[in-house]
Order: sequence, then structure tokens, then C-alpha cells
Amino acid sequence: MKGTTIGQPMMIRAKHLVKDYVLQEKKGLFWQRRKKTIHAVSDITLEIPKGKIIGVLGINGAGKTTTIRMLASLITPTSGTLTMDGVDGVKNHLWVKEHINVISGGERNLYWRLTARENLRYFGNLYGISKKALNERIAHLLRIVGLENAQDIPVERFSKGMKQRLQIARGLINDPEYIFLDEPTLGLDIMIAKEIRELIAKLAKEREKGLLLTTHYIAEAEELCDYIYVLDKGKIIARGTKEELKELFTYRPQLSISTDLKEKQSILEELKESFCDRITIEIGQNTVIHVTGDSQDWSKVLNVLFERQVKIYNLSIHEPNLEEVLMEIISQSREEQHEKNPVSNEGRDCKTAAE
Amino acid sequence: MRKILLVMKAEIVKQQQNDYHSYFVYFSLVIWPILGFLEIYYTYKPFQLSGFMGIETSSDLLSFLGTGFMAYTCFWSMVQNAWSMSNQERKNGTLEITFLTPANRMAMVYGKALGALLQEVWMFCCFCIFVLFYTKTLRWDNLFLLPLFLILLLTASTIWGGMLNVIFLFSRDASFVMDLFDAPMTLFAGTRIPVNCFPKWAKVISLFFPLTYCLNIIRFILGIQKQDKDLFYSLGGLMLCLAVMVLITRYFIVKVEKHNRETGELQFY
Amino acid sequence: MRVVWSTYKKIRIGILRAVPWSFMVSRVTTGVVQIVFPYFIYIYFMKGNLNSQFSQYTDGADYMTYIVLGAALNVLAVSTLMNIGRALITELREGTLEMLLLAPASRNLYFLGCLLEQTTRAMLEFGTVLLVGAFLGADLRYLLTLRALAAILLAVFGFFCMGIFLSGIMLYTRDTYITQNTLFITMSLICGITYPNQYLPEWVQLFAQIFPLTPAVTLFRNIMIGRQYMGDNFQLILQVLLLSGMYLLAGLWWNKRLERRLIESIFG
Repeated sequence: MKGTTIGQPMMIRAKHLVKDYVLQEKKGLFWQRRKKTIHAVSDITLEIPKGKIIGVLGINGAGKTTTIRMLASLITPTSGTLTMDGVDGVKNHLWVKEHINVISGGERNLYWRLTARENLRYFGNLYGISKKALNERIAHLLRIVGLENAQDIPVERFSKGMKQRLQIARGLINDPEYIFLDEPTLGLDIMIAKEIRELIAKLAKEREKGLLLTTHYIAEAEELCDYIYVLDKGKIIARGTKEELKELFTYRPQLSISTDLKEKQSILEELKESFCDRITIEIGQNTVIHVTGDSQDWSKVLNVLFERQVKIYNLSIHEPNLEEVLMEIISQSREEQHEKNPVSNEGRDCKTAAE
Repeated sequence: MRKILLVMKAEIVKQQQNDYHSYFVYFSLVIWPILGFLEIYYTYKPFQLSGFMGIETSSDLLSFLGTGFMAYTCFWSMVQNAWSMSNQERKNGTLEITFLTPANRMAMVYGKALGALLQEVWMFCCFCIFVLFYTKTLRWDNLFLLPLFLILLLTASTIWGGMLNVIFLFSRDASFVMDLFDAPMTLFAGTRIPVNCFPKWAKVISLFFPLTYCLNIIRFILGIQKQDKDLFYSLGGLMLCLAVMVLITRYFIVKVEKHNRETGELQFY
Repeated sequence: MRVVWSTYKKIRIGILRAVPWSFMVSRVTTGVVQIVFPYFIYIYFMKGNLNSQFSQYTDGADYMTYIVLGAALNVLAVSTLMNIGRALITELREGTLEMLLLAPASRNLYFLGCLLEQTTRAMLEFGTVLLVGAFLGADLRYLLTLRALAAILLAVFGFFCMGIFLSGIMLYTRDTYITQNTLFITMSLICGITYPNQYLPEWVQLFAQIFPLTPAVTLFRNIMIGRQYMGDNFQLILQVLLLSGMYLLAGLWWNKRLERRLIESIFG
């Protein structure tokens, strides 16, 4: 058994992780095999300290899952280093596996014909936990995830939320020090998602576990994560605490006002002049004014319209979701890369550090 | 050691609880083998039994075929189970999760094999043991041979099954293994026709199947084929085969995990 | 006729692109194994020691010829039954059944198209097994006669009719693997493929008469080994035809009922 290196910080630390997959393509008449390399992850440097929740955000295909699988030592990185509490995690993957676990969203990864208790007992046995300790832990975990009453029902009869909660119990069966959560609330209804988030927060704050969380929901990342990494095309393009990222994550809600301004060109001109960069005007059957900015900007525009006695047909507010915010950060980063014109932001720094 | 036993026990218990293909097993490992057994028995009907190779009466023939079919079904169930389990566990994503644990990998594959064996072939084995009682090959006075014979069969099949489980970890499309082991193993391992009557080339092929040695010993123990001097060859052959299979399993399990960690293939299906 | 032809082409294309090569290989292998086992027993183990019952039951037939003809016709039966029986359920599984049910084409012509398409393939498998058999010493001199051809065609017709009934079973149970294997193993056990079924208990012999394979294989052997003519085997021909008619009517009636239920479940 490897001990922790004294003086090493208690954290998982990944430096410049790269993962390339080699695919063999069959092509042509004679089935020539051609090798094609896919860069799933091209440069990831991150840290997961104990007691903290680290968020990893990115669109589909950004490399989040590959990153988790590398950190969990399910796959080996092509290059880069991975240490857990100072111990080389690539070489000692079995040792790492004793101290970590992965919880992923969805309904796979469980034996559907087995009951909740049987599933937990099976996985617990694989970790070599003694019978007495395992019984206690199973009872405890079933209580935490609220499956006490369903423990003897086969998983195939569980609802989606119940399966997800059982996944969490399975992920905690070896009392891991570090936990990787891959979209743990994906597709769950609001109440259950909320319960699960509370549980995740408790694990870090009360039980001092190091957590890494990937998610699609910005609210979830905001509520839970102490530090956030944004991934695109296998690279970290932005990182920081919530507050630091606020700048990048700026919500820019938009107010759309449908009016009868079509014949009142003078008012339109006036609006354009006074709110030039904050409004766009769309002329169709009704004239629609889109106002970005905060509520103060909105009320200013509305006041002008009221003063001029403009008739308002409809009002609607559009709030960008994470997908859009991320897309903005990502497209910004891609443009920058394209122009090769260094602009100071976190993503750039990280990238230069990596190169 | 405690952990290894725990892992094996977990796999066996899981196999029992996760009995997902009961109908399929019921047919493929009970009804079809019984029908196949009868077909081969009747295939012998047009012949004049002459006592050649110790088979003189139809009761001799029944006990010869009974042991052959029983051992073959144990070995075959291992092939089938390795294939279906690897498919099933890949699809459910549980294969990768088991590899997320630090559990002893050898214990995992042997546990799976033994679990499947205990779960799936007992019904057909009961049929064969009934045949052996019916033909008076097994009697009250030699009943002590039964556990000996069962332990031998269980051990050999488990080691064989463990190796197959590892082979199926390499690829989800190892169905060629099925073709390789079905007809040739039935023909050459002496499940239905005594190997001793074969021409040289066929005897050489038979040496490659662990089932051949296993059957020789089982039939010796039960007094079906008397061949004192060959017994040592068979015992030696079986030991060697089992040792080689354990080594292959051990070598491949390290390889396969390394391979899968590099390619991430365990998650695909 | 166009339905028959387009079904033929559709299946043909589907087949050339998709799996069933493995089915063909496995059926030929089964056929060959079915010859090789008795061959090994006959040549190496029993050294040609047949008992008197065999020659009594078979009118002194040559053992290898007897086996090979049985195994080959069995492959033909398995192949036809499988192709016809699985046709509709494969469409159901691939989601193309509803298109087929909605098309005004007659179901009978659809099956006829399947028959046309599959017969060429089944003959290929049949021929392969016969070829291996000839290599192992079977006497196939009478294969290229009109009467042998007539017997084969009659057999295919019988299997086809039973296949339509089988298709009903498969649609009803939604299962192919267990149904087909159980049927085929039973057939090769009791229909007199690798041994005269007179060795079996009498009630089993009676039961075997419900499979067209039993009279068909006897007829085929009478012509190939006994050098008889079709006219000498009126009773066997009648039995095949009667069985065919029964399976055909029952199968078509059942399929029609199942289709109605399927349409309700697909569109309901």
C-alpha cells in the first residue's frame, strides 16, 4: 500500500493531460487500414483539493467525460502527469481506484435485475469491505439517498430519479476521498435535482471530500462550484472562481418590446440615438425593439415609449442559458485563436502557460 | 486472500441474482442438449456394438455419452456465458464500473465463470447424473466418486471459463470463438466418439482441447474407459493445460486492462 | 408478378449487404457436422459394422449415402423454414413492417417473392452439403434426374408452407432464436435424418409425421437410393401435399389475424 508523500498537498493534480485516440479506418477496395489520431483532450491542467467542488463546463464533445475518465484512471493519458495526494496516479491506478469513485448521470452502470441493496452489496464486495462494515454503510447510504423503502425492489422498476440516487449511493460505497460527478442531475425533475445538489454540497463541506462536477446547468455550477474550468476542444479556455468568472458569465438578458412604431420614424431615430449600443430594431408586421442591459436600461426605454404614447402589444424577456453563455465564451476564444491576436483573459493565459 | 474470496463470492451471488436470460438458458443449456444427447444416442443405433473401446451395450454407450455431454455442456456454457455477459455488461456500462474498482481482476473473471457454471448447468448435470445412475455407472457403493468427479469438472470448467472471459474483454466481437469451439470441440474432444479410435491427425487436434484430458480422467474415474497407462498422460495433460490457461488468463488480464485503458473501449458497445 | 419480383430484389439487396452470410455458413457447417459425426463413427469407431436392422429399415442402403441425403435435405428444410419464417418478424424488427402492411400488395405474393429469393440460396447450401457428402463417399449418381429434381421441389414447397406457419409462431411469440432452434433440433432428432426413425418409439414416429421433412426425406431417398419413380411413391407425395395445404391455410389465416392485431398495435 502506498502512503501519501509527506508534505504533499491533499489534492488531485493534473498537469498538461493529453489524450489521443488512434482510430483505424478501413478504406478503399483492398481494405487498406489507415490510422487516424483523434485529440480528445489536448491540454488539461487542473487541481481538485479536498473539501472543494470543482466545476468543469463545456459543450458536448469538449472533452469533459474524457477528462473525468482520465482523472478516475479509467483510461491512461497519452502524456501529462496525474498525482493523487502526491502519488503517481497513472502507475498506481489500482491504488487510486480505492480512493475515488465516479457517479455519472443516466440509467446505466447498474444491474437492473438486482435490487438496490444487492447492487450496493456487490460493488461493496468488489472493494473488499468486510460484511459488518458493508451492512452498516449500505444502510447509511440508502438512508442518505432516500431509498430505504425501495431497497429490496429490482432496479428495473425504479424511476429515473431513483436510479440516479442509487448511482450516488454506489459512488459512495467505498467512502471515496475524491468523487467525480458526470452530469449527476441530467434529466431529473427539479425537486430531485435540488436534493441531489444539497447532498453534493454536504459531501464537500461536511465530509471534506474533493469533488469534480461536470454539468449543463449554469445554476447548478453557480450554486455548487468553488472553482470552475471551461473546456473547449479538449483545452481549458477559461477558469476562475464564480466571482472571477462573473465577467465572462455575464447574464445579458434581453427585453423585446413589440410596438406600433412602424409609422413613427422620428421616435425610432430618437431611440437609436440615445441607446445606440443597447438596442436593435426589427421591422416586420409589428416593430420589435430588443433592449439588452439591466432593468434600469429597460425602464429608460419603456419610459420614452410611454411618454410618446407608443402602443405596446407585447413584452418578453429572454435570458440566455449556459449553452449560449458558453458558446459566447467559446466563440470568443475561437475567434481569438483564429486571429492569433492575444487578448488578455484567463483562457489566453492558460493557453500560453500550456504552450 | 479474504478480499479475493469476497470478490469471487460477490460475482457468484451477482450471477445468481442477475439471472437475466433464464428462458434462453433453459432452452440452450437444458432442452437442446437433452435433445442433442438423444439424437447422438440414436445415431449409434444402426451400428453393431462390439465392445470396442469398452462400449459393449447400449448402457455402456449411454454412460459414455452422458459424461461426454455433461462435460461438454459445462465447457460450452462457459463460452456462451463469456460472450453474453461481455455483451450485456458492456451495454449496461457495468463492465467499466467493475473495472473502476480495485478488485482483484483474476478473482473477478473466475468468480464470473464459477457463478455462471453453478447457475446454468446444474439442471443438465442432473439429467446426466440421472443417466449415469440409470446405467449403473454410478451406484451406491461408488457414490463417493461423484463429488470427486464434480470437483474436477468444476475446476477445469472454471479455469477454462476464466480464460474465455478475458478473451471476450478484448473485443465485443469475439464471436469467432464460438464457432471455433462449438463443432470442433464436440468432435475432437471425445464428447461423442472415443478419441482413441481416431486417426493420428485427429488425435493431435484433440490434444489442444482441455476438455479431452478432462473427459479421459472423468471416464477413468467412473470406470467407463479402462486405460491405466494413459491416465498419467491425461492427468499430466490436464495439469499442463490448466496451468497454461491460468498463465494465459493472467497475462491477458494485464494486457487487456492496459489496452482498454489506452483505447477506452470498455465503454463502447 | 411485380410484387414477387420487387420482394425478390429487395431481399436480395438486403442480404447482399447485411448479415445472413453468417446464417448460411452456420447452416452449412451444421449440415457438414451432421455428416461428419456419423462418418467418424462409421469409419473409425465402428469400422463399418452396421446391424441387420439398418438394412432392414433402409432396404439395404449404403450408410454414407443414406446419411448425406438426410443431412442435405435437412439443411434445405432449415434454410427454407428460417428464411420464410423470419421474413415478417425481421420486417417488424427493422420497423418496415408497417409499410408492408399498408401497401396494397398481397401477402401471398410477398411470401412467394421470399420463396423465389431464398430458394437459390438454399440450393447453394444444399449443394455444398451434397458435395462434401460425395467427397466422403456418398453415391449421388441419381441426383441429376428429373424425378430427383421433382422430389426436391416438392420438398421445398412443403417447407415453404410450413415456413408460413412458422412465421405466425414467430410473430406471435416475438422470438426467433429459441423457436427456430427448438424446431430444428426436434426435426433432426425425429424425422429420420441420420438414422431411420424406426429406431424411435412408435409414438415419436407418429409425431414425426406432422413434419413435411419426414415424408420428403423418405421420398428423396427412395428415388436416389431405391431408384424408384415419383409414381411409386404416391402415398408420400400425398402426405407432403396434404401437410403443405394444412400448414399453408393455417399459416395464412393466422398471419392475417396477427397482422390485424399488429396494425392496431402499431397505429393504435
